[in-house]
Amino acid sequence: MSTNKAVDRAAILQGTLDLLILRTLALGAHHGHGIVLAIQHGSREALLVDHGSLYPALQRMEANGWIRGKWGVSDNNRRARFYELTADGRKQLSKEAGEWRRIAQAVTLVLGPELAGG
Amino acid sequence: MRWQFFKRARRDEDFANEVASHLALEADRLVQLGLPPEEAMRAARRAFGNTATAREQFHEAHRALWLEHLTQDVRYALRAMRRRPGFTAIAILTIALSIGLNTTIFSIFDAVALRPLSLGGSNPVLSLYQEFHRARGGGRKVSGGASLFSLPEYLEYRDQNSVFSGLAAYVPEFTAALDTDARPVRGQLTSCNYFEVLEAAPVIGRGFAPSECVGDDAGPVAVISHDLWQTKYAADPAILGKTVRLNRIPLTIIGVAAPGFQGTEIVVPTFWAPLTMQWALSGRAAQASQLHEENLSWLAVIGRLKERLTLSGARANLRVIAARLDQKYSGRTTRLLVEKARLLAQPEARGIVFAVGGVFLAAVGLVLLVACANLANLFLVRAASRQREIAVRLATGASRWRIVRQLLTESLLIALLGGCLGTVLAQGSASAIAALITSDPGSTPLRIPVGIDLRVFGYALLLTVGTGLAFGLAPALQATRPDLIRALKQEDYDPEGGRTWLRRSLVGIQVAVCLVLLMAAGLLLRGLKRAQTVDPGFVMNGVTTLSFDLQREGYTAAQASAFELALATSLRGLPGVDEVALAATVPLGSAHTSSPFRAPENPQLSVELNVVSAGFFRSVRIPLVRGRDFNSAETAAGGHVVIVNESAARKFWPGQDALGKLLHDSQDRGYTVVGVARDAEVSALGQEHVPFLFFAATPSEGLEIKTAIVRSTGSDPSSAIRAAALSLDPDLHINTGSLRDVLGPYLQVSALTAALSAILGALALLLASIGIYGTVAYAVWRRTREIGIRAALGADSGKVIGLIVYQAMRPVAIGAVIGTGLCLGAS
Repeated sequence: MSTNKAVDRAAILQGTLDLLILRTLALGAHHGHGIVLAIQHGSREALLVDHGSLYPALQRMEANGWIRGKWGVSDNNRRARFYELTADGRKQLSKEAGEWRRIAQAVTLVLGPELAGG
Repeated sequence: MRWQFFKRARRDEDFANEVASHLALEADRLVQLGLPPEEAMRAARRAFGNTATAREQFHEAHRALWLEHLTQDVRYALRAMRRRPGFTAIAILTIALSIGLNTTIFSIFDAVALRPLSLGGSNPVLSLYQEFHRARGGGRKVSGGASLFSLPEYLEYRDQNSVFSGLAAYVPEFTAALDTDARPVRGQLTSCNYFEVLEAAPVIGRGFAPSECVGDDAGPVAVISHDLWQTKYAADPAILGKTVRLNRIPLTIIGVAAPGFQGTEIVVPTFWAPLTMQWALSGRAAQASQLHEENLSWLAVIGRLKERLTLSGARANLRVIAARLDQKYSGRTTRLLVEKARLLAQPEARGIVFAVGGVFLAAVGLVLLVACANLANLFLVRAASRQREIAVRLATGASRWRIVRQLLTESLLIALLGGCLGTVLAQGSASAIAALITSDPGSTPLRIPVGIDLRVFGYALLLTVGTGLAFGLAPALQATRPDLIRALKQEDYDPEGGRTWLRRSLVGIQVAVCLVLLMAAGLLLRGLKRAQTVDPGFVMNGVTTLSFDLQREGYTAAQASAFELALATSLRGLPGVDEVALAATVPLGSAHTSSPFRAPENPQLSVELNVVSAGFFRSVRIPLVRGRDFNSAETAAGGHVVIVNESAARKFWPGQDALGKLLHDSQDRGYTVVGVARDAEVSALGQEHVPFLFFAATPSEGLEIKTAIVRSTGSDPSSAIRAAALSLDPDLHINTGSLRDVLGPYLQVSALTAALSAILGALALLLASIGIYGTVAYAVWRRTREIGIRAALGADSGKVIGLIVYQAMRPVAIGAVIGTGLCLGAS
């Protein structure tokens, strides 16, 4: 898939995609395409969202009641489905973000200062 | 990653639109970056991924995807089942046994009570019954069932309705002596359109003609069953025109019914005769003709619906006629019951069948429930040993529902296999039970046409799916509960964990239930043995009985009385005979009647009675505690005398001496008490202290006397007794037997109940063992690590095993104590 185009860009870890989507939507409603661009842009093109796996994630999250989808019109006048965060989604975001930070911190602690060649 | 389908609030089309919109937006972006539009669209598609487009198509035909998931789940389940063949076999067998048991009982119930009769013919056959509300003054006479019709009522429905192509009436069961055969046969007396309405023309000869139904004795003819034609007449082709004697009335055989035609009742008829022969066949001396009785229930009514008419249409039409009849016979409101014809269709019979069937179905349903609890236990063990695998799958993004569905597929698959096997078993066992019930040559010929129809199949399927869900859901939910961290870390140590109490109490309950069942079986068996050695208060040994029915033979009361006098005299002359008595029925016989009586100043009381000659008490050794036996003057002259038992004396004259007191019947005739007999179990086994009256057999009651009781010593006198009776009337239908035979029905019932509870008990025991195995296996599995540590620290294996056995046996012991307590409480 698209990963081979940009080997230096990390494919998004399973489970992390949800967190990224929630965070993106916390800033305002987006359609799927917009979410992809926002994540890529927000990570300074370091993270790559596989277009094909975005929608299953959106569907699952909508089913979980974290986000809500509504049809609307995009900036360039195309019909698109816009997603926004629900109250549950906000809770989920703070929970997942907290967990992620804890893990990241723990991993960083273990790694310690940069070693030569490390 | 998989698409999620558990919330299908969005339509597939909507989703396809969303994907299209995404592709368009991406293409727009690429065009902005300078790509030509066509190239941009291709790139957008590529970015979305090839699989995605394929999935999109799949999504549009999600049915196919469902199917794919299902086959995946089934394959997964089959693999899991193959990995543990022993476990799978036990599970399937458990389900097969319990569903087989349930389906067996249900298919018998279905055959007799639910399934419409398959009578052939073009249109459905309906049965009519009626119930009366606020029948003022009552006074309706009943012969064979209160919901039956009188002939004038039937004629009204037949002539006024516009919904039946034909409406027939018949006496549901008429017992008659056939020629000089010892055993009476069952038949039906029918209206003359009977065979036309049922579209069951005789194979030889004809049905009845209208002229044979115009009045009493109009049609001395009969149609015989195909069976009788083959067995008694050796399939004689020249059968028509021969004479058959029913209750001594000669009838000309005009037809042989089609093979397999058995009427519409559960009792299989051997002959059919016109309704108009009812009076003659019942013995003219005993009562008047019933043909013109307006207020008598004696005829069942069935009709063949006209082309293209519905049940509700028929009901509406018939209700109008019922209302008209209610106007004619004021003081009553009829409620008509119109249904498709079924085997046991009479409302009275249905009430009993539904009550009994309900009890049976509930009992076997309990067994199924126990089986479900067991399998749930086993599956918990299974799921527990797969917890790590499940946890990993959950962690990698599989939804809980998806895994639950996979686990459920496995339990449903096992349930289905078990259900199929069980249904096959049920087929065999239901036929075997039906054959057992219907094959007894001594009893009434019945038919129970068991078979798998949609209803039985649906019942079995419902049970199967219910079972699969019942034993699969809880383990599946528990195995996938979102407590992943612990599962991943495999923290198994949980010696007295909170979730085990449910399993333990399940085991305890099972043990208790199966103990109750087994003990009940044991108690019943002991009761059975006791019944054979019981002292009912009279002495059965050495007593031979001779039974006859002079009313059916067409005797008048005077003829009957003369016959009985001669019979008693000739029996007394037989060698070895000590005592001879005549009675309406033997002690413990099934033909006791009851009637209301009162002593002056006391309320009326319905009491069972027998009509006996002098010598009855000596012949069955019931002692008279006060007064004396009837004397011959009383029996000859019709003196108004009665002998009461102790309970009756206490009931009618509490605290007084009953001797010499007067007892009044409902017509206010007075009877003087000449003796008090000791209480004995003459009306029913185990009912010793029930009021009972003995009236003197007077000449006017000659037709009531139906049995001779002979006490003798030495060799069996039955053949001499038969000879003596037949020398008085060579055509008489008689039966001889031992007085002990009256215990037969009691023994049979207890034997059947004992067998049933033994089977249920054994099954419950089997299930409980499986359940205990499950709990122990689970406990051991959960504590493998702990056991390992104990072993490593030097605990010897005997101690470890002892610990496990102790913990496993604790619920068993508690259940056993509870079960024993229940049995002690109940007995």
